[in-house]
Amino acid sequence: MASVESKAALDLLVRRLERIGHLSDEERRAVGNLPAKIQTLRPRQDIVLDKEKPEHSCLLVEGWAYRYKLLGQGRRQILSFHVPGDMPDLHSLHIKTMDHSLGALTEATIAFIAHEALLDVTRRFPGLAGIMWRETLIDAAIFRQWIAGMGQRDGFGRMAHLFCELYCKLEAIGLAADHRCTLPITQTELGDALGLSSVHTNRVLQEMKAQSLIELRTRTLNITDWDGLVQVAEFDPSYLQLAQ
Amino acid sequence: MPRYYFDINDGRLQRDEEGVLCADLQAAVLEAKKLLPAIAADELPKDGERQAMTVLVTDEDGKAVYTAALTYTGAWLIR
Repeated sequence: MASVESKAALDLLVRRLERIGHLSDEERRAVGNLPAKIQTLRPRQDIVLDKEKPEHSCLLVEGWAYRYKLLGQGRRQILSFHVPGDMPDLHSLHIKTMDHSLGALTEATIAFIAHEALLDVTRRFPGLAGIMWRETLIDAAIFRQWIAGMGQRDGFGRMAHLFCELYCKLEAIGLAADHRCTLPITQTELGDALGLSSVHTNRVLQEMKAQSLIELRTRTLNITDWDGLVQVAEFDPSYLQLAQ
Repeated sequence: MPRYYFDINDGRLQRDEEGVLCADLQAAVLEAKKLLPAIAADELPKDGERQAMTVLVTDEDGKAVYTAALTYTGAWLIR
């Protein structure tokens, strides 16, 4: 018998997949019957590490997660931030060895779903396989935006784009409204995501506040001039595929 | 790891209130060497032909341990 927690997690997964594509009643039942192992993680606790070969993928149920790559001399590139409903390591279903690490950013609830069970539903329901494929393609589209930013935007534009992206993702799942959202990211983590040193990150943040685009207090981001921020970021949310 | 503070001055002083954990003084110096050109790369194109910025690195006791300056001087040769 599935626990209340795992049922809630699988409901979240169904809703997430339905945002990407249509599910038949049978497909919805199949997802709802997946075996999910719920685990609560501490902030900054790793979920799966570079070079590991996980036998399950995880669904982020509560909290934030992030993917990162460690390099020599203590350098770290944060590759992505994840919010509830995301399956940040769905790719490990088909690419067996991790080429980066995944960790919880905040206290987080994770549902682990065995690869075997996921492979089984994707074999039985090609429609589900298609939706999961599309999910990883949207993930890849987000990486393309980050690459475009790293190569072509300055620190200010990169940070503005990230704030717009995070707000839109959170708003889509009902965790943000009125251009206000939580931002449980330290200055160093923000810098590691944007390719900026911590001091440079602070400088960009101060400038963004001075231009009255944002306010930032105790882990809450308030975008006071959404149109202005969108403009400096050259942000077009269509790559997130959030439209119903 | 000790914490070092990196104040940036480009005519306006930006005090570093948070500081950065660095393995040692040498790592802090390396941080300064990367920091100043990175800020310059972002900000030089937005401003005029004569720009200068400095960084002052202080340790946890507020003692200045390193300073560096970066200057940009451009001149138009044709009109």
